[in-house]
Amino acid sequence: MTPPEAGRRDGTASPSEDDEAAEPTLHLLLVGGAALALVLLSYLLTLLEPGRWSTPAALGIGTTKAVLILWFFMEVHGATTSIRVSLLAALLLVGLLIGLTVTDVGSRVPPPLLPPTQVEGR
Amino acid sequence: MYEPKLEFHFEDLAGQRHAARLGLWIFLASELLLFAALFTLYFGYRSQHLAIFHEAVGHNARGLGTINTAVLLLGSTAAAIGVNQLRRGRRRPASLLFAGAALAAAIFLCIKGYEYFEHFREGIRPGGMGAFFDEHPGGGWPIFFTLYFGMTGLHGIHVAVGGGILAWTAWWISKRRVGSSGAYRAEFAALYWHLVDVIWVFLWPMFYLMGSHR
Repeated sequence: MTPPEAGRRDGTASPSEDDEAAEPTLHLLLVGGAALALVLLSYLLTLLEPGRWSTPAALGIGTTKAVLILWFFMEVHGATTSIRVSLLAALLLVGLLIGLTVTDVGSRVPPPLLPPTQVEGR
Repeated sequence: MYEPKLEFHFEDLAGQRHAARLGLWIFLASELLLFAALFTLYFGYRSQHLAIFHEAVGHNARGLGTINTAVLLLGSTAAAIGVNQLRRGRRRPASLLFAGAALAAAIFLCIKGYEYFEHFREGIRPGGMGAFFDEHPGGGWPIFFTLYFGMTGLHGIHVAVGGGILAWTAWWISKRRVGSSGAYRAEFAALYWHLVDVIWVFLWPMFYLMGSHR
C-alpha cells in the first residue's frame, strides 16, 4: 500500500498545513538591517580603541547579533518547547564548559597552560 | 509539483515536520558544543597570554573580517526571506534568494582564502611554523595563530558545506517546483546556515576586534 502523499493517514487534511506562518518580509529585512548596523557599531568601536572595554563591548554586541539571528531568523520565538529545551541545554553546557575552564585556568598557580620549560641537561 | 511524502511511521505531516525539525536542532546543538570546546581553549589560552593575544589580533585584517561578517549576515537574511517566500508559494524569488545566500558563502570563502594567502606570505603558518615566529618568539604567538587557523578553518569547512547545501536547495526549489508544503525542508538548509553565521559572530571579535591594531 502506498502512503498518502500529504495530510493525515486517514485521508483528512492535516490541521497544521500552515503551522509555519510566514513572517512579514519587512520584519526580516529590519532584523538583517539591525544586525548589519551592529557590525558597523562593533567596527567603529574598535577604531576608537576603547581599551579594557573592547572585549566586553565586542562580545556584548556579538551576543546581541546572535540573539537576533536565533530569535527571528531561526524562529526560536515560535519554536516548540522541545526545540527550546534542546537549545537551552546546549547553551547551558557551553556556559558551564567555558565558565568552569576559564575559572580553573585563571585561578591555578602556576598557570597550567604555559609552554613546558626546558629541563636542564636534556 | 513537489509534495513531501508522509513516511509510514508518522501519523501526519505535522508530526513528521516536527520530528525532522527537532532532529535538526539536536544536530545544531551538537555543532555548537563542538565549537564551544574550541572557544574554551581560546579563552583559556587568552587568559594566560593576554598581552600577546591582544597584539596578535592586530595582525589580522580587521576590514576584511568586517566585510566577511557583513557578507554572512546578508546571506543569512537572504536565506530567512527565501524560506518566507517559499511558505507563501513564491518559488522563483525563494530560489533566487537561496542562490544569493550560496553566493555569499562563495564570497566569504574567497576573502578568507585571500587572508590565509597573506598570512602565509608573512610567514605565519599553523603550528608556529614560518619566519614570523622567529621574529615573535613568545609562546602565545604560535598558540594564537594555530587557534586562528584551526577555528576559522573548521568554520570555513562549515561555510563550504552550508554554501553547497544552499546552492542545492536553490536548484531543488526550482527544478522540483517546490511549493509551500515543502518549505520546511528548505528551512533546514537556512537553519544550518544561520548557525554558521552565529558561530562567526563570535569568531570575528575573538580574532579581529579584541586587541590592538597596527
